Amino acid sequence: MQESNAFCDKGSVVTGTPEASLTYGYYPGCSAHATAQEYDASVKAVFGALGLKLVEIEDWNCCGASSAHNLSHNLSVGLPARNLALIEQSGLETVAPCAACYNRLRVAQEEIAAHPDEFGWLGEALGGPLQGNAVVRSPISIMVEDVGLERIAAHVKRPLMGLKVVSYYGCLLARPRSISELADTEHPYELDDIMRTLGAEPLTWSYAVDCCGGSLSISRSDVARRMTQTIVDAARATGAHAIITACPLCQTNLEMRQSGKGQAKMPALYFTEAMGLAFDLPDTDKWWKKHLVNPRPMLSKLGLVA
Amino acid sequence: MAEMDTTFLSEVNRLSGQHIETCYHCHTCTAGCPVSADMRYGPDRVIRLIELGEKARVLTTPDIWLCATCETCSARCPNGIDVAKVMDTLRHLSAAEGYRSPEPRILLFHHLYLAVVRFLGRSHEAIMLGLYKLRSLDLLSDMDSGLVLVLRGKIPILPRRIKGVAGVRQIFEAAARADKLAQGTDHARE
Repeated sequence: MQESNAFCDKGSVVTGTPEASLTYGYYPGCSAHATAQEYDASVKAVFGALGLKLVEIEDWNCCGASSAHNLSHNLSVGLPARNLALIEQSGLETVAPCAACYNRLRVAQEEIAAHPDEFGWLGEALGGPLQGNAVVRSPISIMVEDVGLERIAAHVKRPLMGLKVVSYYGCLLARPRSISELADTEHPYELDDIMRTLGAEPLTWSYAVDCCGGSLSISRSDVARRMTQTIVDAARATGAHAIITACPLCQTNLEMRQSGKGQAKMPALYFTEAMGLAFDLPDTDKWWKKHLVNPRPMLSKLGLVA
Repeated sequence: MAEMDTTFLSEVNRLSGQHIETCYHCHTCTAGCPVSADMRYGPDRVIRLIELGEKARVLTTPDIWLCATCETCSARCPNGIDVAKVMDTLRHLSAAEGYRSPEPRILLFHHLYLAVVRFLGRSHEAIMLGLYKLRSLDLLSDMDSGLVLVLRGKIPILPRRIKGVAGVRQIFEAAARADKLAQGTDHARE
């Protein structure tokens, strides 16, 4: 049974030789095909460059995201449970790049383990009981733990010199603490470590695990705008050029709901995009084109893109 | 002195697995809540209202729908109350017992999102946002953001169903039955 996949306690992960090729299951989540296409593409490109293989989980379904969580306790567990069953069948430790998917899959797993009697109905609905041994991980922990900063550094061809960033984790990777892979859920440092390894300069700020209001972005965009603006203003006050994210909801919300207030808007980059840029991977230009706030002018000014 | 009616308190405690009577109203949850400025009461006063048995008032407050489920309150409660889970329970009860939401658009958004997942097995922004715009009669706001998403190729137009959509539907139905059983919503609302 998976207890916790915090960095210090990840059970059976093979970390062996530095260039060992690893295969992970891949749970893209719905946003990978829509608003987070550049996350999907950059995760695949970076994993590929590091010699890590991704095998998509067959016929996965939506995790229910914040809507199932908001309306029904059993549905918020039941929808992820079908995916957990598919992950178990694959036998692969599985990466869920979307922070919402990661969160819902892990919380469901924890709920089922804690209250097996309450979820007896799942076995029938899924056509068999869950084994409870699916391993679901975020790409941040795979980079820091399985790959390691040294190996990341060895792949850096174009250090991100001069790029100042703030790392933003949002809610879903940090809370609840029991499912978080971050070593310190109030002051996480994993993305800072990765960004420093890429040659960028991570700046200190107090908003790394604050909420962007993503779940209210459509239905109460006024509230989401205020929450987003607080975060973007704080990032701007540090002198950062960009916000580094690992969540499609945060990334879209940050770029879509901020006001430039007369200045250029601040781009939110997926950490895997920054890795791809530092690795000098060929497709980065396609990723920038997907952004609602084009990061190219800023990157060009710093001499990081042609 | 009349005895306090603890029926609602017990119901919320049972469904959320919490002991909210251990709250000593230190206000940490409300102080850290990023949405409390938009709420009527804020989380700690919602908890007090539950203790006072104010079921209808609690289940019709916008607060439970504005909660962004960021769980900052739960992470910081000195008494270990999972306040966000209490908010989840209140929303589930409010929806299941048919209380009118003072935030109809938030409720509508969630219903439509799940309707699309039930039909396709996955979410689909174009269908969901189209339905949302029609049903909320909020036709004109946000068209600029929507247009930018379309221009970036971020809203695929054609939906694709997963193969196991029947299994997903089965989960929806079984989950609804399990919710009803847990909430005991067969008995009418007071």
